Amino acid sequence: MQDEQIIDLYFARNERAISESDTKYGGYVQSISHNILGDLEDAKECRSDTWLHAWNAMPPFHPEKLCAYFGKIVRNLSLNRYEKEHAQKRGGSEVPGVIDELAECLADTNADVETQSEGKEITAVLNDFLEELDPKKRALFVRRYFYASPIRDIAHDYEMRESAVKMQLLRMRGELKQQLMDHGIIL
Amino acid sequence: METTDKERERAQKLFQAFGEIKDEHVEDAAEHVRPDARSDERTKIDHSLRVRRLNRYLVPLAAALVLAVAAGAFYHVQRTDNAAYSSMDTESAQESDGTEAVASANPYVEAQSAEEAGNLAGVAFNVPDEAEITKILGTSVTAQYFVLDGSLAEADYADADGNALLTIREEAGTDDISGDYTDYPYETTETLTGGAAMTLKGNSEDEFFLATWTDGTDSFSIQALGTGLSLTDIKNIAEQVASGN
Repeated sequence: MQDEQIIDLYFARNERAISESDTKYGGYVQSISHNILGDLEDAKECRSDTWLHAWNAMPPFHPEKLCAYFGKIVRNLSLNRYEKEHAQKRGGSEVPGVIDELAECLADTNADVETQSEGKEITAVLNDFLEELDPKKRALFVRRYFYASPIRDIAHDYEMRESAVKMQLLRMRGELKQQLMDHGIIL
Repeated sequence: METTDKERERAQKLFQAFGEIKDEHVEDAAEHVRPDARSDERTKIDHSLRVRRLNRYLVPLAAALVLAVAAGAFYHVQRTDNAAYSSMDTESAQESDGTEAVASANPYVEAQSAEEAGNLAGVAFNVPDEAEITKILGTSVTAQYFVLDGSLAEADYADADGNALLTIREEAGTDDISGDYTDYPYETTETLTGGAAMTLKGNSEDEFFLATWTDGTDSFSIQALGTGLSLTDIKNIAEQVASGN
């Protein structure tokens, strides 16, 4: 079923929207959640919750890209759950590793809370940074830092050695750090 | 060098900001984040079970959201600084007086029998009973029957632990009613006794997850939700369904 047809079902308040969403994107959202939570049962619950949130949002919200919309919903649901339940657990979650990597992008600062940059400012710089990357590098970066995909999965999917993926990500993190500094982003 | 807690907190903010990058970047990288790379199940749908599961907590959750709005408790949502998420919950709040409508809008109506489901949907719906499916699958099953949108009859068979194993559907018309859009690696066609051409999809010539056909008046689907079915088994079930029409 086409995305627009699925959206139409939501707008028609037809619960078939949920089954069609799950059929087409269930594996996708569960995979994202599993990357973040490292727990299959939790990931399944976030998968179900994703459709509930979509149901509550549509209408009137009309996503332009349904795939990304669901991806963002489940990412947030999973991160919220991670903060509440998994902060002390390492488990199979990719988040601790991703956070440690992103810490390398931080500039040294003694800034207090009042001088910290807003999320929108940070995202604007991220989008600019991503725009400048070639498509493959951009996909690698997004896979790791949006989807929290394991390095081995990224390497497999893009037919690269894990060491090559790590090296590419390392370089891009260095470039991102520079861009964040250039734009005065303080985290 | 060891990452400090403070650095982790700051990096977490950066990680959250990634949640707001442009949709096109998310979608472009989604190519491989696809069916169940990291799950223990295939991406298929247990339609009615999911809807029922949703309804089971839809009302209390919606009520909780209403209370949360009343208590001004959207702090956490806003803190996530994610437009997609926050806009969703805003909509939940706006629909606070419509939650009853959401909950009661369930187009799935449970029937007491296959016959009743068929009558409500206006189709014959001669599906194998629990004993027959138990015999075919080799595990004890229970069946539940539903009518979707007043026109589609559905039988769901589950094992003793409630795991969905099989769904059979029938609806007037000739469209594919399975709702299963998985791109299966193997596909073939078999002719049923009445002459209908049945499309079979699965992983191999003896592991099928989906059967669809039409007799020109009604459309049918059989969907395996656990392990795949052999050609013999899925054809056996299909013949029983088709013979009643």
